[in-house]
Amino acid sequence: MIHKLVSAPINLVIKVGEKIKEEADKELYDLPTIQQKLIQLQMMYELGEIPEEAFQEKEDELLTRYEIAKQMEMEQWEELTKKK
Amino acid sequence: MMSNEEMGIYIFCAIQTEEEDQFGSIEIEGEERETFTIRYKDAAMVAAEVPMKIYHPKKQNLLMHQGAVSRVMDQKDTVIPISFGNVFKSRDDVAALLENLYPQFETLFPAIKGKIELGLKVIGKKEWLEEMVKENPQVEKMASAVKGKSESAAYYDRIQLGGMAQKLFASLQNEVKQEIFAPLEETAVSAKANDPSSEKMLLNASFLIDRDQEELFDQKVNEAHEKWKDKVEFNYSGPWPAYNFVNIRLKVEEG
Repeated sequence: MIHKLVSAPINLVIKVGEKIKEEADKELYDLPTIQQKLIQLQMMYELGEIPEEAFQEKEDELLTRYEIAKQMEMEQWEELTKKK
Repeated sequence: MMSNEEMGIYIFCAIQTEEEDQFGSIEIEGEERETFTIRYKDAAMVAAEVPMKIYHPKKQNLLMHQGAVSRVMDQKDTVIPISFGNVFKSRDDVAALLENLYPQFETLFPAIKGKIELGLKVIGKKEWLEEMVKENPQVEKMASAVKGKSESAAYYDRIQLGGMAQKLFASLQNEVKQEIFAPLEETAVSAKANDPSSEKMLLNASFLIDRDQEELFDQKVNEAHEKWKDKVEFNYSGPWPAYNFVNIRLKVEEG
């Protein structure tokens, strides 16, 4: 019985962990979110609220995420180019 | 242009049409590209041949996409928006895509015919928001209690203050919804209050309206602005295709 008690919470922890990762991925690779962030970043830079170096660094990071997310989306679109 | 670049087909939007439409050329990353349509039954994709790659959603590129869609909207009354940056391998792929999406388009066309989307963001002015905080005696009292105390000493006060500020904002958002959103909703075919995209934003709304109601709607927005202009900024945009009212499923329908 003690075995069950030990294993159950671990499973639960893994499940919860997976769920959190899933949610974080959704946010991290959500195209409209990334696009919105890029626009906000550009605006902040144009208003002089952040220095160029910080802007470049953040922009590179967001664009890398954008490329990954767009690639994933394009794979879905391409499924739709196959004849039924 | 002589080049070894691999080319692809960029799609801007889908339209309902029975004819060969011409939408002219568009400048994409410094190159002039002719647009064309790929047709299936009474539907068509508006597209251009471009270098095959992932286009970054930077200001100039987004404006290019928007510009092309706006030009199409000037000529056609049934436009289904497609998100930025979708490039396909060939015209045949786009033709197959159109054929697969057609059952969805068929249902969408009558729903969006002659309709446009307008966006309205209402952003609280800093001075007004501060004034509202001051007028709220509880928040003001708590804020002065927090001031000057060390972070740990004021820990619970800060949590309470945060909660109160949130409540105050929720009530302001509610007021804006009643006073600005609700009357505009009456003129719209459909209306949506989206999640605010910044902390001072009190309303982030999209309205689907009949083209012939645009003038009346503009007038109502102007009236609301007159009434509220000392307290908030209005960011009013459009006409757009029905971005917030059309949801194309990226899955092949079974059967």
